[in-house]
Amino acid sequence: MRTSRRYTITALTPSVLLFLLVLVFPTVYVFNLALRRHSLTDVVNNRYIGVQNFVDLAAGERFWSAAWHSLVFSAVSMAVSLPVGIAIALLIQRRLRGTSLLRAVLIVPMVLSPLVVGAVFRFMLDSRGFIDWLLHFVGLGGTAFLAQPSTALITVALVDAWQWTPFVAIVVAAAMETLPPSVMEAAKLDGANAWQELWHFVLPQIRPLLVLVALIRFMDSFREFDKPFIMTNGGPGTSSETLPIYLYKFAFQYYDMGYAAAVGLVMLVLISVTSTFIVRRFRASEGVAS
Amino acid sequence: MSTSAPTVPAPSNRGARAVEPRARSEAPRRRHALGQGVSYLLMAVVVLGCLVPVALMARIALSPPAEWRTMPVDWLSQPFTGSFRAVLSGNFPHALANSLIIAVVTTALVVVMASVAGHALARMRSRHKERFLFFVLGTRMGPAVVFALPLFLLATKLRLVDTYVAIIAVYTVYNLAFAIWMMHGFFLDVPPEVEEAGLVDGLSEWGVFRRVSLRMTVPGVIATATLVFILTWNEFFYAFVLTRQVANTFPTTIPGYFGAFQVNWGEMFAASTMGVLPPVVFGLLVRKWLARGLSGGLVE
Repeated sequence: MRTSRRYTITALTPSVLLFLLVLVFPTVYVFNLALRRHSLTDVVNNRYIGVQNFVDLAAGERFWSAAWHSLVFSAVSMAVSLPVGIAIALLIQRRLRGTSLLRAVLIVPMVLSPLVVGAVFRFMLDSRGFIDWLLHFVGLGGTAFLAQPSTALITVALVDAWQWTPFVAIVVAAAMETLPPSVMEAAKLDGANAWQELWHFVLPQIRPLLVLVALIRFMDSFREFDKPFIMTNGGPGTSSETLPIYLYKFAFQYYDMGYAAAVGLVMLVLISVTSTFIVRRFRASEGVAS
Repeated sequence: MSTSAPTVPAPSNRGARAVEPRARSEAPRRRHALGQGVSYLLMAVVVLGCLVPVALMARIALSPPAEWRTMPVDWLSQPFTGSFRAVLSGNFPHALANSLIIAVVTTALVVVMASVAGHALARMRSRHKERFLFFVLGTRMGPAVVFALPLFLLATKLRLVDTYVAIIAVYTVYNLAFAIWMMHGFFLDVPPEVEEAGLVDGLSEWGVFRRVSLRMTVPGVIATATLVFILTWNEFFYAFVLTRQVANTFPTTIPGYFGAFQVNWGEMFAASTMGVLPPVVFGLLVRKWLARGLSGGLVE
């Protein structure tokens, strides 16, 4: 059906207006805010200060450490969820009995509130908690994972991977189903060649989708707030402080809105640059739904 | 787990029959059985890995304080309802009701706007269409923590902090982007000839949309609605920043159970258990569409 111009405009107007109101305005406002000293507690000194917020930010060690933590967080979450997700997708592809149960169960982590996931794992990771008991049970030593600066960040990232590995598995399994059966046979070969076949033959066939999944996983993990917040709130010290937590503390605990907005802009830039890199490098757009 | 799955020598029955001759030697068959055994073991590990944390949450919610820290967990001990009763007699039902109201209103608004916009976009032949769709997509990239700053200041200025209006407006936009993408995809699947026939029968464009196209995409509308509901229900950060005691939703109550010196695990998990039930039920109902929705409509 060819629709009239009037129909199109009428149909799109409500959505566009709402986007302008609740999205474009705030974005413009963030830019404005980032160039101001805007404190909610010390209002008299609020004024335009140019790029001073960015200068402060670049000079602050804590900011760089938060930026580094964010990258580590995303890298760990992706490095675990992508390969494990692909492995589970291959398991689904075997179509053994019980696969439909497996598919149903994989839904559960994804639909849980990330905050509740963080709370549950905080409980499980307590010293002498469930994970500790489990590790002792299989003969490994446990430790207070969230209480140690060396393990806290990586542990939270692994919990993030726990929640989103099923997403990778389900999407990749769906993509594998669209491949000709002969391609999947290659991955089922016995012996040492299976890895090579998978790497050189099967995965390249679904490369655009894999890149897209990597992109989504990057964006989602980079902005993840709920789990770090409830599990460690950046601690111990600032050892697991990622950019969202850092920004939150400056905005809503120190009420330094201008500085927080500058941090937010840097985050947006980091996300755009990395996403563009991923898309350009691997041409993900081929996989975008029509 | 990640490294072992692909190398497991387990050709599936389906594939093996097609490729290999019927008579097989002993060795491959043994290997086949072994491979299947490993596959089943891995499946069990994945299933348990997904379910044990959830089961543990429910178990602790139903255990008296003395048993919270007892390992191994006694899965079968007598349920203790004290935590649930304490949670239900406090402010939690109010938060749960808020979650329901806010999620339902948001879902209704999003589905109506996304259906209308998605249909118009699916029928649009213009170079602006792609641009609009990618703009819509870009809205998904922005972290909530960044947008929360101006939205919080704006809401403060307009005296909208802790009101349904503010949080519903934010959630509507937050979900509109991916809902438009999803509905756009569903409407592309409606054959244009059917719509043409509607026009020939004397319906207006709106009539065709309402009586023909929308009816043919009912499953899509349901899938989209359920996803919006789940995402709205689970959202924490905006609710944490924009609501206090009046319009607060269920996730915002969770940090309250973490005291400075001790955590009330029983009550916190009782609240969590009630809070995660609706998304789990709905998620299982629309599981076919879940991955697509959670990817922001990106993945087909």
